[in-house]
Amino acid sequence: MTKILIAVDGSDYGKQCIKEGVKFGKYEPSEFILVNVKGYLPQRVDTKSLYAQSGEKNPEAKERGEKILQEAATYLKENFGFEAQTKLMWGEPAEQILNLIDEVKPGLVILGTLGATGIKRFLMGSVSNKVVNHAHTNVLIVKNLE
Amino acid sequence: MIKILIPVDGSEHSRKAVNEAKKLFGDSNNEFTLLNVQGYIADTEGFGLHYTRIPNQEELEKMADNVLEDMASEFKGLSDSINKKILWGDPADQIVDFADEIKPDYIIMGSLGLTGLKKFLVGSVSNKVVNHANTTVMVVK
Repeated sequence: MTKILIAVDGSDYGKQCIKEGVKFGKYEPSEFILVNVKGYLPQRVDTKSLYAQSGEKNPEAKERGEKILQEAATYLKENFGFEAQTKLMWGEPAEQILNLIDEVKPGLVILGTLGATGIKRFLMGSVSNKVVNHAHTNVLIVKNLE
Repeated sequence: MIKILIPVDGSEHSRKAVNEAKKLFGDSNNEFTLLNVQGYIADTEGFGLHYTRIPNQEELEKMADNVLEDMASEFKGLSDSINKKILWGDPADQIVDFADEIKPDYIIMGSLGLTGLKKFLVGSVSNKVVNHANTTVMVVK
């Protein structure tokens, strides 16, 4: 079984990544793993929020991440009939994706880059560069929407 | 029909990209375009500010032809639609511009596993293509 690891962010590009994953998954039996990475809150003194103080996992971000993964898994199942494992990770996105690659050793990693604009796009671009440069596996960077 | 653009430089890593493209898309009658980009060298009299084609352009063209022939031979018996193209200038810029022109479904390219400066330089080609191409890119390891 080839494993296809797809990073989803809740945007249309995440959907396009799933479509591409399905196309590449046709060549051999594949197992799908969907990942969403959420950043820890910055550590700062904020008397109103314990989470912000401790650089912890924000429960709202957790909920958002789980929803994105659930929707992506449903999209994959309802449109293409494939089951997927989902994984919510915390921390710096490229680092976490690379950790997951080390753990599950996929045959293909799929990332989108255009799901954001401006500074966010710049940051995401650097995520795909980091993954491309350090992963020992093929990486597909999805640019076009169908 | 799926259109695939494969930038090749004659290295084993670009051969890997060719083989991956073959494995994924070689069984049907898809269209493959092999691209080799030859660089300019700095015109020292212009303090490196001006770039000119180096004098033995014919030699470079022959080199590019050899690389393209060699990579095209990998497709023997698989697909009749193999285009070959030589361009001049900065590799990443040329790859991105050419992709905008021919609008392939995928760019499939290698990434060198070398260390040090060469990794930095070569890595920067795939990074630039990943960042600037308007086409979905597969970087083959």
